[in-house]
Amino acid sequence: MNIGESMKMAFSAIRSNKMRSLLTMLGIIIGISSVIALVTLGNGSKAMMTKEFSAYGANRATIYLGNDDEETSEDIYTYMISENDLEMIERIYGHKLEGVSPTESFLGTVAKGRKSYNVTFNGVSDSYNKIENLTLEEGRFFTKEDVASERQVIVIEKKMVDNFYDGVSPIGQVITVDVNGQSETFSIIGIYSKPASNFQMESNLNFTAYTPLSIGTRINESEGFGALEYNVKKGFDVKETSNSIISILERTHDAKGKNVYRVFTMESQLKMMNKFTGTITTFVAAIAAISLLVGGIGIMNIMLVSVTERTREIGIRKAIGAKKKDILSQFMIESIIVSGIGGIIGIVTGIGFALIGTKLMKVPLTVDPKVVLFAFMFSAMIGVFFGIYPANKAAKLNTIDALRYE
Amino acid sequence: MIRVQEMRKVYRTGEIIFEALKGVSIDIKKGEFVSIIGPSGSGKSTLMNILGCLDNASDGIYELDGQVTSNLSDDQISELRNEKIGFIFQSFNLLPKLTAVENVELPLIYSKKSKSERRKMAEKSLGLVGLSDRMEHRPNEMSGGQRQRVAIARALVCEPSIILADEPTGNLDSKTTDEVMGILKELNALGNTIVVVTHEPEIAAQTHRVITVKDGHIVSDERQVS
Repeated sequence: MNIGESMKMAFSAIRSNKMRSLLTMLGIIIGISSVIALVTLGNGSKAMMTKEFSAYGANRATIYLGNDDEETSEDIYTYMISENDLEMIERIYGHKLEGVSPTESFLGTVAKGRKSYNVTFNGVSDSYNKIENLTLEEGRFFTKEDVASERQVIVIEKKMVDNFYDGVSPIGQVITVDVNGQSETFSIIGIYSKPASNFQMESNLNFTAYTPLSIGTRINESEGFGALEYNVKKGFDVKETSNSIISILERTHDAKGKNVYRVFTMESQLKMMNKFTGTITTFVAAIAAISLLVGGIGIMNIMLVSVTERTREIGIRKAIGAKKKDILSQFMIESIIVSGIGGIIGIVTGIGFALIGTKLMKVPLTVDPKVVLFAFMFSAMIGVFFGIYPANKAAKLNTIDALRYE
Repeated sequence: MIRVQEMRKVYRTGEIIFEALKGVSIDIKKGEFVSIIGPSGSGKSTLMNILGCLDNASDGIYELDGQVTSNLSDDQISELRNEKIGFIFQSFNLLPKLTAVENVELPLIYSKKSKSERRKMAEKSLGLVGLSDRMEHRPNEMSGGQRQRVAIARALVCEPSIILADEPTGNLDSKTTDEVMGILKELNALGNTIVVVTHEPEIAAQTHRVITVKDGHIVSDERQVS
């Protein structure tokens, strides 16, 4: 008997027990679809993250003050990055850096009619537009002189023009903002836009604006900076440069070995992300393995029932000349087909779930053919593994007893 | 064609030993139409099973077409059944989900015949039993007599050396019994060797040779002219 005939027989057996076959497949379907859905979603979010991070800038790094629990806030002050530190870093590493800037943020509110809008002001240095991926739509970014002379100028985002100024360019206009109960007046010198990020919640009531660092320092009355952002020029190693900046800071603040200055780079962030995804993948794999094991036992169970039900058929087949291996292959192929169909349904529903998930999470759908193929092969393997015992039982039936079976 | 010598069959269930056949010798030649008759428990079914290679004898020699069966492997026995023996059972033993022609094709699937060849042979065989117009019917769409004719066609399809019929009319009424016996007679006239196992003397009377079995022994072996 050839495989074609065995497959025909298996399909007709499955067709005549549609509901039972479907229920038998369920374990496999759930197992395979959850693997496919989660792996696909995982890949999608990984791809999105990589894209997001590369938009942030692969050469970008942030040095920040690490606040370990045992450190009191008083101690932290002595380690704060000062204006002098900034000048020194610019002097020593200027040739390696595209831009270097701390950020002093403060909040302000502007009112228009009855609506009130929140504006996050980021006080940054003039080179900040070389760090952050900003596109100047109109006007200009502030200069060294603007920063040095504490000019009350701001660069606002395009969204603010659209929502607050009804699309009319406000360049040259003056805006009065309420900051901690005091009025601050700024003149608008530029409009920027930046690529939309999935990480930030979009709201039409919140705007972000950039203002000279000196303004931020004055308003926050800060004595130093808690963080420093910079972009390392191409050709220089991000990690190496960051480490030597840290060692200079440690030397000037007498903080050697205290691990107060830490660096955040995209590279380290990606590594952490991958570790996280790896943990989730392991977790999912464990759940899927349990589900597939249960599914496999389900198949074995139903195949055993099927062998008992068809004892007489087996007897007839053997009487008219079926060999042991014919009966064995018939039942093996049936169980492989059941698990294989379960696998295919699982793959399709898994991709379906992933599609919905990617729509909700706004990540790209990336179906890995390797994973799909592996899932299919694995489900077929379950059919082989859990089909052997029932098929062997069928093949070993005594012909006379089987023929007499009622 | 068939040579059985001093055949014994012993069943052992725990401590109890039951001897179903106590030294049976039979010779059946090609083209014979033989019946084996005996009351239930006489050992005729055991003899039938051994003749059909469904069971092994405990002792003695069974030769089919010059081939001694006792030293064949499982697969060789299956092949032998497939090629040389055609079974007709009391309860027809057709597969309910297959049509008449598919049921008849079944033995050919196991002898690895091509699809077109199978179909041709099955159609011819069904023609011989007068069921050319019922080929696509399933067993449950047919009468008992028709079902048994399908079973006969299945037994015939491999052109076996011997056709073994185990109570072939046991589940049939008198009219269809005549119909089935008529077909068996016709097939015998065409040269087929047929062995019918029965407990009904009327059936045995229609064959050319009656072997009577009782308590594991052959008590008589009579040829009759019909």
